[in-house]
Amino acid sequence: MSQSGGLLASYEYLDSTVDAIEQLKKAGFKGVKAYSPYPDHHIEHALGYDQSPVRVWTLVGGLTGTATGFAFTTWTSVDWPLVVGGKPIVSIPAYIIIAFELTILFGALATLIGLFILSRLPDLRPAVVYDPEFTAGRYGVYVQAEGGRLDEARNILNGQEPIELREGEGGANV
Amino acid sequence: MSNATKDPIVRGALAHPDVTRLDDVNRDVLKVLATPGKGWWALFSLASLGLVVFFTSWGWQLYRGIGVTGLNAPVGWGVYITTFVFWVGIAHSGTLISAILFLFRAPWRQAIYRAAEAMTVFAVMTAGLFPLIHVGRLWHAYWLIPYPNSRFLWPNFKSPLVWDVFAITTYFTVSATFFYLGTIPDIAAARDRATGLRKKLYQVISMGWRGTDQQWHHFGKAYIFLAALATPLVLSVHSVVSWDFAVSIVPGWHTTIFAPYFVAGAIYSGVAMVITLVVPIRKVFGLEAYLTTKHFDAMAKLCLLTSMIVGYAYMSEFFMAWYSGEEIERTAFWNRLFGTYWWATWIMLTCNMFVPIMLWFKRVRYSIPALFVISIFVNIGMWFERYVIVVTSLHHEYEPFAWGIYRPSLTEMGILLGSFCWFSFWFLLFTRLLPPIAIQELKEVLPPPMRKQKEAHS
Amino acid sequence: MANIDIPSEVPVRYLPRSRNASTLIGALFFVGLAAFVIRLRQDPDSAWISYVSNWLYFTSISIGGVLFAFVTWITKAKWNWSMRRVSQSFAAFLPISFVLLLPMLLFLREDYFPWIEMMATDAIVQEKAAYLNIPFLVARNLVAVLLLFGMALYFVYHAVRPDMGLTRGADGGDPAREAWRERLTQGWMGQEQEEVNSYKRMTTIAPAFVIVYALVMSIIVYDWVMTLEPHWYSTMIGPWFFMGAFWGGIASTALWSLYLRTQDKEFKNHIGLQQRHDIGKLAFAFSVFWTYLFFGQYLVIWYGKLPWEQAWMVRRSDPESWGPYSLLVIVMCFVIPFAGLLGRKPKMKPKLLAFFTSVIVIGLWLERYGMMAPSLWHEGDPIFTIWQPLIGCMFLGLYLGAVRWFLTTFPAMQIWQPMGDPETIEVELAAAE
Repeated sequence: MSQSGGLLASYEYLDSTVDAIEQLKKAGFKGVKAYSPYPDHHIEHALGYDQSPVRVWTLVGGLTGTATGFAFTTWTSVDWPLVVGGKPIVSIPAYIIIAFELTILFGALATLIGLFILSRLPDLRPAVVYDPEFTAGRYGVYVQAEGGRLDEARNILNGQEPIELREGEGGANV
Repeated sequence: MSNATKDPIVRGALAHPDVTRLDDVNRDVLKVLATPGKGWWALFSLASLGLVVFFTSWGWQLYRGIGVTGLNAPVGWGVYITTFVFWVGIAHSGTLISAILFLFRAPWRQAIYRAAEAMTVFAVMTAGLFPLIHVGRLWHAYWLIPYPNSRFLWPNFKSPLVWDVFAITTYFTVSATFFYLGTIPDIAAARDRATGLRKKLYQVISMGWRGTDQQWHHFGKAYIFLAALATPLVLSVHSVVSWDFAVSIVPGWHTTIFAPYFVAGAIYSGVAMVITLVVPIRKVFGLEAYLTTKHFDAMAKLCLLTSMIVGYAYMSEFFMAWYSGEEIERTAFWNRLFGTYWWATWIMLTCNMFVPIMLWFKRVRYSIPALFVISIFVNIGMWFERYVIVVTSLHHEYEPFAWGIYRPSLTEMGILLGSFCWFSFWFLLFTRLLPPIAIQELKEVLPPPMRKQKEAHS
Repeated sequence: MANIDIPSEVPVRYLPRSRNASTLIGALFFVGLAAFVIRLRQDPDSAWISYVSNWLYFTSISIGGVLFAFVTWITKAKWNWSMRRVSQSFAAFLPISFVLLLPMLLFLREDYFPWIEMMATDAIVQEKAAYLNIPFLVARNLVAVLLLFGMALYFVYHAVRPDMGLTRGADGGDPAREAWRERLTQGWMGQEQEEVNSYKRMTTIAPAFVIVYALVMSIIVYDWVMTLEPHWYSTMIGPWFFMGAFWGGIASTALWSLYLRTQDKEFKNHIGLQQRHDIGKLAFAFSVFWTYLFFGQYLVIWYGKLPWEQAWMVRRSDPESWGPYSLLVIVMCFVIPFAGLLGRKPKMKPKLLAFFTSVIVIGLWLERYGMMAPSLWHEGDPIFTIWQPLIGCMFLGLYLGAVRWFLTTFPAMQIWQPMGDPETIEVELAAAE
């Protein structure tokens, strides 16, 4: 076994999961992944997450919306100038509303797109290794290792008493 | 007070002996998606029958023209606009409960927000039909959308009705996005328990969600930002609807408080509707462990607060009409209380201001049947509030020769009734197809399983 | 979902007494008082405008801060446990505010209120005679303000009382604190019982207070702002005024809390990241809400173009006179706080948060003046003179002195924390009944 392989351990307890992740990280394994039935900040902390770049998507989307709202309403009014209801041709108070709605619309859509890109969704390829109990009550840790280090990883994962330990070369597809 | 007596389970929103493990939540919530019972089929058939009424009435109106309604000068806005505002209002509390209470970290929202969000989406879907019905010539409705037509004529962006198009479309898109995003992990949970075709369907809808750390991380942040965007949006949408009225100079419409007053009224009617919907769901699907009296108490308090805001708005309108010293303004509000439509006004005041006074009592807030009855009163009252605003203001404007009476026709009543069935139709489908309670968020309030704790206990 | 843990033993800490601070506060007061007396001789109209606008402002932020204590109590909020007392401390200014209201009710007559003279000739104003008359004005202000302040003090009294039992012997025998302990612990029924009583009374009065707050603040803004332009009326003025006051209370709570952090290590620890982030969020959110209410009123009036309604806005947006001032208010109340507090970091960094909440607090001070002063302004008068802040010093001195007195006399972090576990107290409450 000189090729790389993947190991997926399912755990019943949160602390076992966090311990396994921390030990794998300490041993220098790269590409450790965790599964959980709900977002858990202990796991995020163990994996060392920082700010999510989704915020940038939201901000840029929102600002684009504001600019579009003002630009579009102003341009269409100037393009065919008509005085309506005794209001100025370019009536900023009225256009604030359009600009506001577009800020929210563009911001929300950009957030959604950003989320999909960042978390690699949709991904409909069948999972190579996956435990359907992850959406119910189990936690999971996946690690990918070169042949030589595979046993080391297995020992660490087994040390936390998993319910199940599966092997499979998921690669990016887990 | 010592903090030593904290029981980890009591601290969360859930306090029930049956729910201790994470997968208990899946067990209880996903069983709702199993084969439907007789009660569901009965309701669904009733709703479908109502849809027939709805489309027949609308078809009749399309065939004969808008003359089949009671709309005429001076009352050009009647039941359709009333019902439009009513449904947009209903939508609002869904966003309030899912987004605003999320940002304020109110733990009681978790059990009800999925149903509330679904209600939002379907209520906007219902509301969105009414401008189309109301314009009469449905085939010209696309004129409202700004597109480069042959003469490069653009919609009038100074018109509140065009603001409405933008507000409602944005609201529908964003609330549907928010709703969908929140359900993705739960659909994945349903997928992992389902088999056959249903499994494949859920796999596609859940986009292959697997609950990895990377997915959760970005998901959590995206959810917060969407909530932060939805919060000002929900304020803006009903404000824009209120400006459909307030920016005109019709007495009874032109008053500055309209925007926050409409928003509060919307949340009020929406929370009442959530109570109306959740009480039967809880009973039929046996979700008593998740929807406790504490949740109902919190919703009742929200109703009470918004009823007081609405009451403040009514009173300040009446006071200001008198204080204005203007004859027209004074007459308009006098006519509202004692004129032709006095009964509508008094229904509104009774249902929205007086009946909810009972919510001051804890015993009432903790009695689910009582809340159910009060919530229906509020629903009726809020529909009449919009009726009072729309009709009594229009029928009695400035010039006495232009006064007139409006009577809704049978077609309008058919469409009003049908709109409830259209809404129920979608809502009933939702309870079958998607988990009606947010599984993953409930798990966040459960104490996580810890080996060390377990070993210490044994 | 972040879990906020309230320590089971909250340290007993007071704002340290400081002679320098007292001197400064005394100086502020006397400078302000002198300015008012001088101005009263020079130009009584302008002196009273400054007096009333400053009274409106300092009353707003004080009662708004107390409302914040009420609201977080009703919602059983835990995050602000270390700032609860700061919000309550603003109640110390309320008795002073009541005394300061009396000269307004006693001395302001036809030179000040335009409707008194108009009553003789103006048909529309005559229609309002039942509301616009001096006896009713005095009566309703007295009753309304007494009721509102009385309820606020009742609440704060019950919030402080259980702490008196917990701090016995913990403050080094300070005579002033001892004297107040004596006064506040009359009829003491034992710690547990006192806590249950206080919790019960505070919870009972809180929702009623919210209603009274909205009504009384509406009466105040009608009488001291709206009726100054007797033909103008707006149903939004009430919510705009009292939500602004609430916002000012939140921003001042943030500022005072950040000040406490510089005074003691315990404050520094407990007014932590979570607290700053959350109060920063609220300061941001209410800036947006203020703008919403402002815009909601502006749009309807702008669109309607009714002469008597528009006059109010036209006067305030005239580029020759009040326009730039109004723009400054919008920049201070919306543009700067919005852009500044949008991100996460400025809400958490004490210095940045202090800067932006200061902008809000000053912006609101300008806003309260801009609400009422233009209505009494005559062509050719200056918009804003140095007398406005100088007379403000009198109010500022009294406000700072009152709040400082409260925070030096009573524990500046509430010791008694029933919200640490509301379930427990509910159970005890049920048992006590």
